[in-house]
Amino acid sequence: MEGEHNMAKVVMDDIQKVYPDGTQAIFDLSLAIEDGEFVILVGPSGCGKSTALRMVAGLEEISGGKMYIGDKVVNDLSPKERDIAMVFQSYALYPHMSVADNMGFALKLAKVDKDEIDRRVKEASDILGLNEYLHRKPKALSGGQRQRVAMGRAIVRSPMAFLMDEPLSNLDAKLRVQMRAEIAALQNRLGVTTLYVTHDQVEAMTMGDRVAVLRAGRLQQADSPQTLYDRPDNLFVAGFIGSPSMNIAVGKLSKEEGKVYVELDRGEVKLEVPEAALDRYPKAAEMNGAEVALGIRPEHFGPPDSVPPGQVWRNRKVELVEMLGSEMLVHYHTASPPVVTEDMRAAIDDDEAFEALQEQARTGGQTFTSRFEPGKPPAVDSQIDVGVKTEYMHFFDAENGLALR
Amino acid sequence: MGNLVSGVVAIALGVGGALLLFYVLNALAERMPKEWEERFKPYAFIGPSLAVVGIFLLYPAIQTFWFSFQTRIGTPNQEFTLANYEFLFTDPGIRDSLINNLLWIIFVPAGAVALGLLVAVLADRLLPRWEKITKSIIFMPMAISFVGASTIWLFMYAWRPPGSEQFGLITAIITGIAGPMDEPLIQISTGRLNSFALMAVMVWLQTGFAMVLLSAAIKNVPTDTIEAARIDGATEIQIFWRVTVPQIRSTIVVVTTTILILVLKVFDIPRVMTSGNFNTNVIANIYYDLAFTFGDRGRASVVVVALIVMTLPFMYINIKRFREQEAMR
Ligand SMILES: Nc1ncnc2c1ncn2[C@@H]1O[C@H](COP(=O)(O)OP(=O)(O)O)[C@@H](O)[C@H]1O
Ligand SMILES: [Mg+2]
Repeated sequence: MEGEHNMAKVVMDDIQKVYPDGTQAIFDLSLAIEDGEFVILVGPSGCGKSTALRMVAGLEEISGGKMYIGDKVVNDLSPKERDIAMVFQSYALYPHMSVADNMGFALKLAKVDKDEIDRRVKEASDILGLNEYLHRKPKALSGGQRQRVAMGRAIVRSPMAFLMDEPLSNLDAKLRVQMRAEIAALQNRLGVTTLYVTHDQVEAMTMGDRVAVLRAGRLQQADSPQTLYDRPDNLFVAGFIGSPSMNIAVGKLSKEEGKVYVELDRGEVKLEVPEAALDRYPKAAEMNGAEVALGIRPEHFGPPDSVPPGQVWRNRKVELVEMLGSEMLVHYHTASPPVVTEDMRAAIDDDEAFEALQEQARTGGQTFTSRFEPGKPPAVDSQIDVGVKTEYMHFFDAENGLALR
Repeated sequence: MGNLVSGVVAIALGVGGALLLFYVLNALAERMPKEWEERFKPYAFIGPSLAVVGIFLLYPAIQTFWFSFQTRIGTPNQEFTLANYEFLFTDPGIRDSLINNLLWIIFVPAGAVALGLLVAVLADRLLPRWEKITKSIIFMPMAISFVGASTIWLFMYAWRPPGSEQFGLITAIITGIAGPMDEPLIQISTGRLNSFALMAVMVWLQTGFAMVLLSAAIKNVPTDTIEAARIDGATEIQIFWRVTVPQIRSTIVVVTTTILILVLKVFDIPRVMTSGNFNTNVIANIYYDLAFTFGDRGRASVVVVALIVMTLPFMYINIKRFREQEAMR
């Protein structure tokens, strides 16, 4: 386990997947997971995450491209020959075997001798705190314990790589947060190359070394969590990553006397865009008069006196206030139309919410969310002034959704 | 039309009668003082079923046991005797039948379950349409009566001396391929293995039943556990024996028991195919002869007692298994 460490890189090179019924689930997927790296594959449900993972595992045929584990091309190898371990969403424990037998099954099949199996099962159960349960059947375990057994089954094998398909989605919220940290720590300790699939962007952001965002079978961006958050490559990534999500609206860029402004609320509001934002989105400086999709995260608002006067957005009508203890979320009306492209539909991943957005687009406004320090909440229906930290603004092409860099 | 009407009336009377009975008993219970009502109610509901089981199963069983120690039953000279048991242990015909019954018990449920399992597993890999067709064909014999099936298989085995036209399917096929046969391949009138030719009929009839239940059970095995085993490095055969079969064990037990009980009662197949001759006789057939041909109720009863005793070990195993299964839940 610890110490016995396989050098294993997992590389997907231009992978395609077409199901027998003609559905293409994965398009041109290229992604390299370095030895010992913890990569999270995230995306809305149905985007092809499981398909991709199952192709690595050998449970799904690869329609095109090359898959490497270690230095070997594994396209035509069976799961057995690939030497990987997988944790399933349902845990997939063998119901007729005890916890110890579940964990030792792979070793038994590999004809490892009995003492060695016992030793390795014991070692794994020490790590996972399963010692008391080794003789129980899975049925007699709680959800969290079953999840640990599934992890145990993976780690006793010291495989080339761990593959995990939404392993925490059947746990309640509190346990999920706890297991999130435990799995990340375990992976760190064992140093086994890991590909972890989830649809939960919070999970993705908190666990991995690197996060690969998948949308409708196409890789959007693969970067460290912070880079994804700070420098999304396109509107989809911007809208999908972050909670509450980024406020995104149609705005118009203009240039006067060498200064760049962004017009909101159909020209009624004009905020100055500082150099810092233009450094990150250089193309935005050259788009005088163009309508763009602009994004601003909820935390990049503040009290009016926290920003220069040119960046204050006045007289916003408060619609809802959420007091969360450590912070205060204020939702208020704007007259800036939302962006209603397919990118946004995919990022929102909720048809009803998207229809609500379309409805807002028709009536010509939308609700923005800002995150403030907790304090005296503004009254609903009152008007507030909001300081906009425009230096953190994001700019995207309104048509193709690409970042304006 | 008349039959249909009387059938519908019978069903209505049966169901209605049961409903009425429970309604009346319940009404009665509710009239009692509270304390009594609580005590009486459970019996009001299980009482009728207990009574039916008692009258139609328990009472005859006890009576049979009693009769096995009696002679000249129904006459003024009825008296206690052990002669029936002496007959049971010494009569060569009975001994052979007991051996045959044992063979049936061992081989028929096992054969039908093994074949049913094989078909279920293989059919599962066909395209859905072919799977349906295959399973329908294999299930079809279930609709044929034992007597009908026995007659069909008599034709399967039939053989006539070379030169005459062969109407037996097996003989005809072999004759067609390899030329005339001087003697039949499968003899139901000689040899010690001829009982197996009769058992084949039962296996043929029951394979479909086993297949349907086992196939449903196999489809219920979570695909995840199969895939997990594949990743754990199991071959398809290892997956079958170590992951699939253990997960359908309770269904295998149910199917085996059901067929076993049917086999214990087997009577029609030897009756039609050999009339119990040529060393193929079974207990139920002997019972029939003793009870209805010779009218010897004492000896008939002792044969039934032997049959019940034979089933006890199987019942014990089954109940034990069932308890284990329940404990696992
Ligand atoms: N066996 C299959 N045959 C046809 N289409 C499939 C099959 N399995 C999945 N798909 C389709 O492929 C797409 C990706 O599925 P999946 O990888 O399960 O998504 P995710 O795990 O991201 O939710 C979906 O549109 C799904 O409907
Ligand atoms: Mg999935």
